[in-house]
Amino acid sequence: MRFSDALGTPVLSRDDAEHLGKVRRMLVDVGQRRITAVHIDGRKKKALLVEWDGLAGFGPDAVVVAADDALRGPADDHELAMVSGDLDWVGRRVLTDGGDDAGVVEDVEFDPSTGQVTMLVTDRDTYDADRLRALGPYCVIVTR
Amino acid sequence: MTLLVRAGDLIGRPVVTLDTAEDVAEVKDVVFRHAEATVVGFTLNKRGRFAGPLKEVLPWSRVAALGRDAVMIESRDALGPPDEPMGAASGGSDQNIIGTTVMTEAGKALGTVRDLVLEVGRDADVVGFEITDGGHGRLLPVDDTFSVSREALMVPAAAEEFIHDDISGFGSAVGAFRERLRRQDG
Repeated sequence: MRFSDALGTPVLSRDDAEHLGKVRRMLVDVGQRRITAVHIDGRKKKALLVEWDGLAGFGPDAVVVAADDALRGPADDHELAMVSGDLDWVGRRVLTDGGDDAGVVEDVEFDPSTGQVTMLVTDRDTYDADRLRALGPYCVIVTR
Repeated sequence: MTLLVRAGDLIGRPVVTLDTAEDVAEVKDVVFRHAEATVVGFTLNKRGRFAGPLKEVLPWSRVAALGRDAVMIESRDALGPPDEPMGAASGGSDQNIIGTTVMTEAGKALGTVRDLVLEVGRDADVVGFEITDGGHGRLLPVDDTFSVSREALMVPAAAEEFIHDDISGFGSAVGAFRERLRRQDG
């Protein structure tokens, strides 16, 4: 599954089947190449996150939250930057660790059963996730 | 693998950290040491159109990679205060040499320096100069024995024969020129 497929997917509570909001973005730990949390666009104004480990399932038609107490706000500055959109993937410039331009991020592919990021898709090429080195305010860095 | 690049093309290039993918600075000047014709580092500007100079510099030894689009460093710790190798009086920046008259040992003026040509690999060496006599720029190969003063940049007479019009193929002109000098010495 790709980020673009996941965006807008309804998020439901397993406890009461209530609609909590829609998937707005994924928070990724680049070092572990893994989605750590899902940012939910809810009715509340404050950013709402649910840990990947707090999900009962990530399906094509709904994301199901195991327990409502899995919902939380951004925990640190890094998460705050991510939910503010300062570290979004799509549209971000890609550089190799050799300092050469490698295009612009178009999408990110992940395994919805594990939350593992599997591939970076740019306007020119694709990169296996093990070539991801860093995501920052200036660019995404991939290894040569 | 080595890459030929004009020093002037490095000016303004972002300096990007590999750990946080941040553009922490951009290249202001290329600092090199005449004695070895080698780049010792970069002075820096803050990023942004109206941002001023940074006090910190980037020594060449702390450059992780110099690519076509960015100078990569491991982390922001690579930047530091100007110290011995960077601040040494024997050095100068590319700006000091630009505009200097190029004179052959035979006493012929070939033009003035417009830019430096660097060969970038593990080190970054000055392998030539872009010179102009008012018209378009041409590339003049040098070896590491050129001497420079406030008045002139002195090059071997043979250098004139190896002047090249563009940077593609200039690497082989540098090689041919240096081969000629070696044969003269031997």
